[in-house]
Amino acid sequence: MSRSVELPDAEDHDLVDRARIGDRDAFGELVGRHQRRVWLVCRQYVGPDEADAVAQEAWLKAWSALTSFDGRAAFTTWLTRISINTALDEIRRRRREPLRLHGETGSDDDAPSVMDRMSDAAVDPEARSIQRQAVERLRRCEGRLPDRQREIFRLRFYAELELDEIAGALGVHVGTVKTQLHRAVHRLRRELGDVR
Amino acid sequence: MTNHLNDDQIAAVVAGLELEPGARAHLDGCVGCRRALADFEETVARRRDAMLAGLPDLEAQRHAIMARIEDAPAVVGPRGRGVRHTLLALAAAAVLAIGIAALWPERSGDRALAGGDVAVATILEETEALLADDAIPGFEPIQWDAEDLGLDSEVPTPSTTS
Repeated sequence: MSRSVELPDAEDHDLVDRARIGDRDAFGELVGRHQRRVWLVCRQYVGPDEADAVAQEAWLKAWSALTSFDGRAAFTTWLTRISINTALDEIRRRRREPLRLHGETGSDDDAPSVMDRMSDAAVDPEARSIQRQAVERLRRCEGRLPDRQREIFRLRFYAELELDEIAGALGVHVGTVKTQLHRAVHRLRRELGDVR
Repeated sequence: MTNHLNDDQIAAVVAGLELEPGARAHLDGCVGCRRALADFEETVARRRDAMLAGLPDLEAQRHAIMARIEDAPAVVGPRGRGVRHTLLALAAAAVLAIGIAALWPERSGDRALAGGDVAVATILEETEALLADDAIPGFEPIQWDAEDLGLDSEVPTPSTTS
């Protein structure tokens, strides 16, 4: 692409091409565009305390591996996959125990912060209390989902990925994503019961 | 459709799956079903908002990332769609080189040149032998005379000269 195209106007693949030949500014533009997504993805796996560090690590890996990006998938899909792998590596490295997604145990999630950060939309103390209970219950119910269902549910609703993006990042068919997501929602609604 | 959506259908809507047209039409017009849908989605949204509240200072994070990249070795790779194209180009060049190498001795070697001459001579001999074989249909010798050649008035033949 022409150098005359300003970075903010460039497409992702053009920025990747530039970054691949050492253009750090182009890579910085990519970081600015997608760092929220990377953090949100990492956040679903390692929790709020480690998400920032893991997200940064994912970006460094992306920088180092940029020459291996062949453009068959969207850059964001490739980046999401790196983010997930980095988060999983971190979990394995730090905990030295079988893979557990963040929140599976129900004891290491951000329950206090959820309570602290609840929206003030419900000014009625009782309504607000019900909301808090619902969110806390949702968190606990998520922890009881099968790994794959919880992973897909979180990537869809908290990391805000589209179904095909999830499929691409996890290397599964989009139909699998739909099925697992449907089961997860069905189960969560059932377990939330009258609190939802 | 007048029946309310069941749990399975509501879960399908939340999951982004397609509903049957009848169910979709009911959902669009039923406050109760929309409420059931919204209750769950609002709970999920609140949890998401709580997570987003923990989002770090993105500008600071970006600076941190770029600072670490400054210290990292520069990524210098091929321009274009990646190493795949480079490898393909190298493979094509290698095949071409092998092909040229294989042809080279036949073009420049003395032995190969002599062998080529022998082959040509053999072919010519065989062809001449075939042409000389009267038994081959269509290759019988033709008995030409002057009339056939249109020479009777212009050039006297030995038989008309006395």
